[in-house]
Amino acid sequence: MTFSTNFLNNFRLIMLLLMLSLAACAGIEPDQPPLTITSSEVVLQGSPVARRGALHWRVTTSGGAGSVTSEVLVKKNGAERLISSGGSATGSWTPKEPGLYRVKVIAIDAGGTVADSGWSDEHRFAPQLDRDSLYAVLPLENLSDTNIPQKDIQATLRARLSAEGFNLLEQASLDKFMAKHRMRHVGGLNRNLSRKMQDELGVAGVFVTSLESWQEDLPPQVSLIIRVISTGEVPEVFWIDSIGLTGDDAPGLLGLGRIKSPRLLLQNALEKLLASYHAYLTGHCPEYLHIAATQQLLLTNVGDGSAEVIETIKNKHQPQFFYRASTFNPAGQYTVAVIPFLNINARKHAEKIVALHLVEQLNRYANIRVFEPGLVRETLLRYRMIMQQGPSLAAADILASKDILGADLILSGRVFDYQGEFGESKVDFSVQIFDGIKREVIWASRSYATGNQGVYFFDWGWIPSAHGLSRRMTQAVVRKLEE
Amino acid sequence: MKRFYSGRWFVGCLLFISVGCTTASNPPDYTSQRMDFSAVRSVAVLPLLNLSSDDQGGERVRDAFMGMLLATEAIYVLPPGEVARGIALSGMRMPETPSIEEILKLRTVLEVDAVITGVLREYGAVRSGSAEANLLSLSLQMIETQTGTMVWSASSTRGGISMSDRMLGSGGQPMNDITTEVINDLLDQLFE
Repeated sequence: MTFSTNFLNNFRLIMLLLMLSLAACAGIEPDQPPLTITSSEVVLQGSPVARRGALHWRVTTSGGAGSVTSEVLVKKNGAERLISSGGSATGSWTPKEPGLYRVKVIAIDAGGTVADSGWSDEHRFAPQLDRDSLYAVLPLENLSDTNIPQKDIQATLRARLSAEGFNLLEQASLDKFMAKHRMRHVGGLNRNLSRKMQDELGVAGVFVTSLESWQEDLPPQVSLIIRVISTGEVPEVFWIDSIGLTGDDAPGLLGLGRIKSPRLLLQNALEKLLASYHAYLTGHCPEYLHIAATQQLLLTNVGDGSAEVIETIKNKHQPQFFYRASTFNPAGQYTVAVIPFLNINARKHAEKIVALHLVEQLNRYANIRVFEPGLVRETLLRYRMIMQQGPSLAAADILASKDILGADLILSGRVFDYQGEFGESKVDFSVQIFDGIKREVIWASRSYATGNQGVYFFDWGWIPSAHGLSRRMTQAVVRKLEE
Repeated sequence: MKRFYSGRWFVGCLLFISVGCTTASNPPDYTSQRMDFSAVRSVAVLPLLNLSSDDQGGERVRDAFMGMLLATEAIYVLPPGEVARGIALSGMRMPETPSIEEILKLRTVLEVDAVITGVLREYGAVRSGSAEANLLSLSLQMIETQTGTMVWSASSTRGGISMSDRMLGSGGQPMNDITTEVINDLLDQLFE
């Protein structure tokens, strides 16, 4: 007993017991239930059509420490990407391209605890246009700086589209409409004409064809950029693709594979372009997207619908130098206005061609929506924005204003060289991108390449057309921006 | 005695050859010792005074310089459209050679810490006999906008006809590569 009394009176032992009991209680907040998602729903808003309908999510949570934020993921063809981060538990998202989509909401509390809603049911979004929609085929926009057989090319295009089963507006009706509304510019659609085309003619889609080059002398050359624009309140670029063919592309043994007729080249070009549009209509159009888990850029919807790592672009087509602001998030959702470039001594229309190439490349990215060039042109004209040295901050403010165009990014640049019809093909341009909200330059680059750069044996790797060069170079610029 | 003279001849020839082989270096640059360059956060690059025979040479070089300076991420470079707006608003008559008053006025419009002006002295092909090669010569100055004083000045020349151009007639490097070399040299001088 004497021993036990001494034991209890030991001060050191009491302190030790006190510390042990305190340590055992540490970290437990008995009144704080863990973060859980009590209910979640993902419903379709509007029609199940890409760019028209939306997926709306609502999540309710309980428990958790501090404020709760949410991240929203979308899955398409097995590829997951983040579409919203740090937002509230309610929101909606409109898919850009047709396909099957699932949505998952992840709630995160201030202590970093995560609760997951699980993937929603699949929602199918169809393309807004199909073969039965009524299409208008605008007259060719000649950017080739040469005399072209415009009526022949236009007739070939219409015949090809009809043969593919597209429902085309009668040429006479279109001519009457263009005369009535004094429509002279055939390189795009503005809001007014887009609305009237829908209301008066019932047209759902418009084919806008820009002829980049046309050469009948040997070797013949044909380069085309075609896009399909939706009509209605705001014209949108649904699909855009381009092709550049020359007679010398595949000469083969003893030059037997050479093509000497530009008409044959035109047929081949149209066949490939319409196959690309067919892929879009059937939901198999390749698309670049940022994978949420790895933040890696992948090309999805290829062949069997799987995602694959993008092949690298050759160094010779990469920008000579580039700057990307450290604050720029390449995986963010952006709307982009591409304004015509400044032509510094390059060939006629080079500024429009390079801008169209950039529209084409940007349109392939799932997180980017490019404004229809006709809409941008209308804004520039309406506000009398004459930009002799490129856009100023004041010009960028107008384009970025939510009441006017609402562009997050404004892309401009300069073209210094664009030659490919005769002699060595050569392209030289610079690109600059403004962040319309932050009012600062977030991208600057300069690209320069020639067709026979790095070619040593038997024309292996030779790029005969300026179209081929500019396509690769603009692809490299946009890839660097988005990587 | 004969051996002594032949030795002198040999050394003399060696000296002559080595002097003949030396290349002309760039003139030394000027950097103000009293200037705190870390305070320069934004600059406006004004149009270059073009003394070359190529009308567009100035714009080509200026565009490359602006992009490369921005790519260093050390200084924010105002976009050319904004600079053009500033020039118009401040009423500059010759933006290539601005006066101190014009620079001070430009500062109030554009809110930049410094402006960069320059002279493109050579841009294009030079010929010597049958040989031909591209050459670029550029000088730049930085003027701070608080007082309108010049705080940095440098020049660089690259390209020209080399021995291989004379012997093999290769035509020299492409103009874009020479432009990049010149600008890299000037940026090295600015940030050294």
